[in-house]
Amino acid sequence: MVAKEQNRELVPLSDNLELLNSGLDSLCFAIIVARLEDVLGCDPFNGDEAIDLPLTLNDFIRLYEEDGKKRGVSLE
Amino acid sequence: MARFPSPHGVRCREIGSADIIPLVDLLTRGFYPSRREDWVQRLQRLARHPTPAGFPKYGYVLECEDTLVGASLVIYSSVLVNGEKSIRCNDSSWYVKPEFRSYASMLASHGRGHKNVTYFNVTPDRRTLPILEAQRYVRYSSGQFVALPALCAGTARRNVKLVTACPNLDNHLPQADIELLTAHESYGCISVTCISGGGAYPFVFAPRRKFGLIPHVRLIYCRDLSDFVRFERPLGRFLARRNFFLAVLDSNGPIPGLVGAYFPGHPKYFKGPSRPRLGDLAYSELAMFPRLGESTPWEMLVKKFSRKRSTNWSGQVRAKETPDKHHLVTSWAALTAKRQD
Repeated sequence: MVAKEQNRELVPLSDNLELLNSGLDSLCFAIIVARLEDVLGCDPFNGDEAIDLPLTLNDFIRLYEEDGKKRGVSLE
Repeated sequence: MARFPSPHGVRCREIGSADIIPLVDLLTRGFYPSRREDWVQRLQRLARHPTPAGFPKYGYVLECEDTLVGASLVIYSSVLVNGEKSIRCNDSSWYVKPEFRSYASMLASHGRGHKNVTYFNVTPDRRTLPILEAQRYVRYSSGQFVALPALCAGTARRNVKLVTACPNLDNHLPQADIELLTAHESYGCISVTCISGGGAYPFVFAPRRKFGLIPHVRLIYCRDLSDFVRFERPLGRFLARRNFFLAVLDSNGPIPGLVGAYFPGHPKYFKGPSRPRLGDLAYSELAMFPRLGESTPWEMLVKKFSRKRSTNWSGQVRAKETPDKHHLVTSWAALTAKRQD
């Protein structure tokens, strides 16, 4: 939906889809992260600690799952 | 759609002292045109700046395979808001190499999760405004008012004494104001205090040149914009004696009582508990950092045309990838020595 709003051409989604080659730009990711924060109440990127950024879509989802686990929230 | 090489890992972390040299290289290439010595000076000022405990001194970097591919400088400061100490952070100098732009917003939000900190951006590039707004930043200033203070009447005309030397103000100003005036003087700003009717009213102005030619000052700090309106005549004369006839103030429209014109543009954004006050840019990049590549009309022209050519945003204009002709320096001391040379 975000890609459509921003007129970006999104490549077919798969677990191993690389974020750099997903077709989403930094604005799309800013919107996605903000909307996920609205829904889930967390932003795994705004902490102070060093963080390995997700390379693939699977990494991205896993990052949110782990952040949810830390806070005792399920993302199911 | 362009396909970028797959990185083995991208890490976002705080800038450490070992990053200084590659960081200067990255930013010099990333912000075009900019001079290496300007970045050295910026980082030196951050090193000397009294950053509140527990907050980063310089900011954050993106790192891929031991190479810096992005950076975001921050200026954390402890300031008084309505008489209470408050932490605020000026987001500054955000650059990410084009092939890593998907991670730019993650870098820009890294470390910005403190609910008690007010984050503000006073020089957002037009192309980054949608990202700021997506990140819940709110516009607090929409334009600038260009005043001609020397020609204004003002309300305070008589019995106004202007003091520029901070040591003479011990009996007039609180320590926090004296520190602010002294610190900004060290950044090259003009600090002056109007003393009238038993009260003292501090002001800080940053000297600038529009298009590299027209001298003017930017109001960096005053306690309230109404103070500037009240003292504009003595301030105008004081500034005119230093060849500054124009003063630029942040505003959201014409300012009653001032002669001049309002120009929309150059918006400023914030998020956090304390909406920044118009007339308070203290300890921001506009006060602390030298301007990049704008010291001569020629450099201004280069910047203008390089922007037109640029198709990618980078927090600023796109990098011109040229080989670094400077010698590699290995420490802060060497960087400083190089600048003095």
